[in-house]
Amino acid sequence: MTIHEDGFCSNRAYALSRREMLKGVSCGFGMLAFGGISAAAAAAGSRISDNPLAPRDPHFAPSAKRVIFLCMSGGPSHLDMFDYKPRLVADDGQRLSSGRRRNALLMGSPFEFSRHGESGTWFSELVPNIATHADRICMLNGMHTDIPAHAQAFVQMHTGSSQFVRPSLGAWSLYGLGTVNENLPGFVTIAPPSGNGGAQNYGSAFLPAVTQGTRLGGARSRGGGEIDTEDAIPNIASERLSRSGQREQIDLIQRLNKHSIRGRGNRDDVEAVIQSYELAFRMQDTLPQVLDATRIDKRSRDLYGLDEEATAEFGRQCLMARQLAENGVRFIEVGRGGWDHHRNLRQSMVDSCTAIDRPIAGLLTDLAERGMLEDTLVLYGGEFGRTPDAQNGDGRDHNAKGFTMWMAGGGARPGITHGATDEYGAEAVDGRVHIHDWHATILHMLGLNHEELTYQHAGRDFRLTDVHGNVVREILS
Amino acid sequence: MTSHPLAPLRSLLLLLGSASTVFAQSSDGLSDQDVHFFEASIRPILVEHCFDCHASGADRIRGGLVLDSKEGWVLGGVSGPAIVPGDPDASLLIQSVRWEDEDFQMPPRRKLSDREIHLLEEWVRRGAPDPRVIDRADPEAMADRILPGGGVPKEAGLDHWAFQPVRSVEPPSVEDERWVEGDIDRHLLARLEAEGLRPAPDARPEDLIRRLSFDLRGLPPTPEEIRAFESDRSEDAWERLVDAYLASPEFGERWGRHWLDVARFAESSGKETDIAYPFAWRYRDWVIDALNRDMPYDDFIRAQIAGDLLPVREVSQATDHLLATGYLAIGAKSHGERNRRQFVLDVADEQIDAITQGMLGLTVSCARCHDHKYDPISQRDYYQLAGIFLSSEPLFGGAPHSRNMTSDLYTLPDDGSVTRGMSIPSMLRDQVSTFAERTRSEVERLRDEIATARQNGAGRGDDQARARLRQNTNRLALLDDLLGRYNEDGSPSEGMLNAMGTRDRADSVDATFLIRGELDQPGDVVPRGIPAIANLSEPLLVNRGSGRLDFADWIASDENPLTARVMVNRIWLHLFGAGLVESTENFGLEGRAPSHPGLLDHLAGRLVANDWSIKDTIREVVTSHAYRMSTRESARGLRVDPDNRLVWRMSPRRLEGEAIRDAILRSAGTLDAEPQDGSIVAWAGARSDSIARANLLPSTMRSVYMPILRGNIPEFLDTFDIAEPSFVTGTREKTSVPSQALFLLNDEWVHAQADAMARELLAADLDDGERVEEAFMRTLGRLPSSGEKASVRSFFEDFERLAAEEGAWDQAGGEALPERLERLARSSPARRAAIERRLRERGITLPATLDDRIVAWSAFCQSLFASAEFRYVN
Repeated sequence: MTIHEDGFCSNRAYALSRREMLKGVSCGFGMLAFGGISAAAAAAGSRISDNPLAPRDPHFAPSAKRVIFLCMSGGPSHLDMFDYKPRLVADDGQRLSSGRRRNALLMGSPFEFSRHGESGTWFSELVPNIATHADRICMLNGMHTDIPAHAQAFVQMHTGSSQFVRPSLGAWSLYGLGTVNENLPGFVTIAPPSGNGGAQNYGSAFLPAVTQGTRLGGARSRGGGEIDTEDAIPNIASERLSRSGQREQIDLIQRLNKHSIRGRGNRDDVEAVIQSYELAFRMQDTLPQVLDATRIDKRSRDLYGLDEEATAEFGRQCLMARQLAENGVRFIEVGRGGWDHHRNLRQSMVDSCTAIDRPIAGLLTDLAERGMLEDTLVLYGGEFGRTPDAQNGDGRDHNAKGFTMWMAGGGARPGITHGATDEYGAEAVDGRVHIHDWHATILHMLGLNHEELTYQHAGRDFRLTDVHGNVVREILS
Repeated sequence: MTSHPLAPLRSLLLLLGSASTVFAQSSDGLSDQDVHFFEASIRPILVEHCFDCHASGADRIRGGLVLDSKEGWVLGGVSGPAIVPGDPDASLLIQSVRWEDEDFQMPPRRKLSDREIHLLEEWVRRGAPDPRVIDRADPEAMADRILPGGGVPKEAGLDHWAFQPVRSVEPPSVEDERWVEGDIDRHLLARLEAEGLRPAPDARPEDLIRRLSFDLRGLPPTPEEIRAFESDRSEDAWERLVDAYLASPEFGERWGRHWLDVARFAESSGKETDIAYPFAWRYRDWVIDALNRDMPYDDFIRAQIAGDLLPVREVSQATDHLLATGYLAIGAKSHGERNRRQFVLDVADEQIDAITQGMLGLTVSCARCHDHKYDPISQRDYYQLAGIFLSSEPLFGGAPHSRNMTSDLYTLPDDGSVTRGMSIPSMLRDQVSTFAERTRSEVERLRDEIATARQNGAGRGDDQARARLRQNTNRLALLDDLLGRYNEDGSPSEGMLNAMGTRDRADSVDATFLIRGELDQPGDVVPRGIPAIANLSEPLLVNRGSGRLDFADWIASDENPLTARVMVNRIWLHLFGAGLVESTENFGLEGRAPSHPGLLDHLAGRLVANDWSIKDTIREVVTSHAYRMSTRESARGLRVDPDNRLVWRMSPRRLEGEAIRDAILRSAGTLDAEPQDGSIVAWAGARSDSIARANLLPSTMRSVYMPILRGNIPEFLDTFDIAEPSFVTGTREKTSVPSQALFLLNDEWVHAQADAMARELLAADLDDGERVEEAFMRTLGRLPSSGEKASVRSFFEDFERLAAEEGAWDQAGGEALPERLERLARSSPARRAAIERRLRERGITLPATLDDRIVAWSAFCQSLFASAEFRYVN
């Protein structure tokens, strides 16, 4: 692995084969594994390690060290939360007279909008708590993507491609930067949907398998959406042996392993197995500790709304995200479904927004208070937005041509609104940001050049943005 | 084909009557009158009433159908071609505008006027003359728009080693003739001697038999086999062992799995929809069987690419050949793709990728959008090949759902010669049946509701009811499809007599060169054929049929320098741990050079000379002296060649997940060694995750028969680096990560196997010392050393003391598991039932019957499963 003296990794360093990277596991991993939490963090940036997930220098100075992606699946309506369209309200009930959707019935947002903070950013009454962070938020109203179908758009949002199996954003981030806590996974996805591409959205595809996301909760876990640690991570605890009983057992395994090191000619391999047991044994401690629900204080309970039925679940997940971020996890995604409001939007948007408003606001407050917001990039968004015209009474259809995502912290310019849709909110017309651009910008904030972060597979170099993507300079602080 | 007993069911909708016009530019000589009629009467109707949803630029292309070009309606949407020229009644487009079927009315909001409908009928009756042609770029304009490739001139590959004919190599001479037992040894030793290296000493017999047993059968040798081999002093003991293992049915299960990696085998579509493929297992079984009967590798290739086109002598042979063509149909697909042209092109691309990487070690798909960056493969070459696959129709089935791409399937003869697979548990079938009936009445209720609303003058009924109707109709189709595969008693019906496969389309087509690979940037038409890829041969144009058989023959030719080399390299990889060419899927200019070019060509030559016998090639490798070296390290070896590229010792190898799992079952005495009849994927509805959700994974079958759903890989195999089934994989990852440790330490299934092994050991008429020895023999294939015996003794002592002092395990009547299940089961009765059923089917004994002794012995057995040595072959 070549890391130049100026701290830049050459393409060549990243062009290591998956095989070569994994081979490294057996060499230096032992030393790392015995180090405590963040032992490597102290040395980050200078040390060259054979651990495939050891911290690596970015291409240039980053503004964000970690990412928390609040991922809303189903396509939340930008028109009812963030993108204020007075003309749409004024023309409510009229039919479009021309264009692709002529005859469609316009539906103004039934929710009140107002300006917030010194920035005067618009928010609707559905997200009053998030609105208090107006001056921290970088609103992107000119988002657009290619396909107005859930699965394709969702997978494209995560991997850049809806057609091919490609590594996810989190896997690319981990591949580019490594991680600083050897006792925890570097990429965690909390309660991801099982549909919409499922594991592909946090998969590593052809990147080294160690870069794939570790799932907590979600439909694929045994707990079926529950997020208690033992349900969230398969086999995190023994259901049979006590802790000391299991230690006895691991000691026997390790003694057998040490016997077999002698004269068997695969010392490195056996060492890797030995370390995997020690790491697993420590993860059994660390992860439940990090996520320990019993040690959440009153302040956090209030902040994230853990005692309210409507906000308890997502609040707990947002808190988990903070706990993991604090403990050195590089990329954390929190999933929230139920945004596909084809009908009955007046009521269901209230429910959906209530569930996320306080938790998200709480997360931003919490991160800011802990001094973590500076270098934590918080992303909010779904796979697309919704149409200005009505469907099934008061529902809205999918809209890939214009929608809203936002960022906070981590070097995103605070208190600005970038980009705009047309007067009805149907299409992004100004400051347009495609999903590829979004990817390029996120990598940029992490100190990675999206054109240089490549991986060779099947005879060519791949990157997250394929041949697309422009860093949106206007939103960098 | 139609008169053949195996002629597939031909859905009328899927007949691509005039497919030849699909991709090639129409050159129909239309009369002025026709053109005028179209322009004056038809185009305005289409533009006015259809293009909102059925034009290439539409926001959402409904039903996958576009009507803004002739090829749009010829190819049709998810329901098939929209128009049968000359036959209005048979044309979906006409049926829909007549509003005959209340579920299929176009345009949906307002019926066309009678006059407009008559005009469309008249147009179709006239043969649907359509003067619209795709706006193709002229060659000069194209040149500017084509993406630059790597600028690799056609001559570039001329001197690349892999593109040269296989040489007949004179085996090199060596100093130490005594070590040499054959040409393989000679090739290896010559290199070692040149580097001043000595081959490692011979491995011990117990290591040898374990190595061979895993390599040829994917299972550990039994203690009896080990003892018999160790005491066999005859000269040909090794050869006889090799022959016995090659002849065992487990050989095909082991080597079949290797090929299934290359064939990117799975039983669902993957991608965003992950539709279940309930008949994919037939291809899996075909592969296992073909390897067991040592089908010559050239025939093996021909059958998979073009089995349907091969001459046959009898029906059973025809069936066999058709099953082989499942190879082309099992790839990952986007069934949710709305544009059928895009879908068809993507499928062809996936097939080209699988074949060229898997069989030729070339990455031809790189040339879809531009000339290959490194290899002498032009974008034009790619489209020449693409025509072959566009002229072929993959029969993958797919879920009958209005928004999914589906296809026909082969129907197999119902004469008892073909298995229908296993029965569905009657409870499951009953559940599905009940659900179907409920859905059916809901469909009827909604139909009535809408009809009533319509009679009352409310137009077409409200949108919500119609949406629900559509939802329920789709669901019902899926459920009926599943029910159609089983009789009421759960036994498989005629509906299970289907197979995935491939056939030629009625009319062949040539591909349109697509600038940047993009559908809306067509260039000229490229005649299909076999291009001069890498200058391996002169280009060959195809005149009749798809050309698939020509392509298969070309790959499977004795003269093709890549085919045999790629295959013997795969064989070497599985027996020595690394390919002679490390980049097993890339023999192109960016691939790795062979470590022993002479040996590679020697083996390739032998494969061809032995009538492409895979077993003979394997036999030749495993009877070499080199294969029988130990894994012992030497200081000089480690210094000169740490990666063992020169093969100065046998490389220690980590077992694949399948072999680790099967070895646990074999050691525990719980292995169900009988081949699985079919696959439980056939029980799935459309959604592959229904299988995972139902927790139906049985526990004791051999791993090769476990359901491989792209979106839901069995956890054990997923944890231990199974090949990602959406990609061609020759060389698997071998990771050592904590999730594997957690799995082996804490998983219920592992506990259950360790319990079973502990019970067997304790029930045997042995003393504890003998029990420990038996356990080592079963798991590691050897007796414990005195140091190991001491470690085990002290484990038992400590464990017992701990149990007495503080409880080494949860002794509260083994409440831990039930308590947890109780919590999980609380959510619903269905959940509880599922959990109980799962435990039963997985053969898990509740810990209530455990005692200190069983727990201790179980923990000991589990420690052996978990040890590093268990998952390595030395």
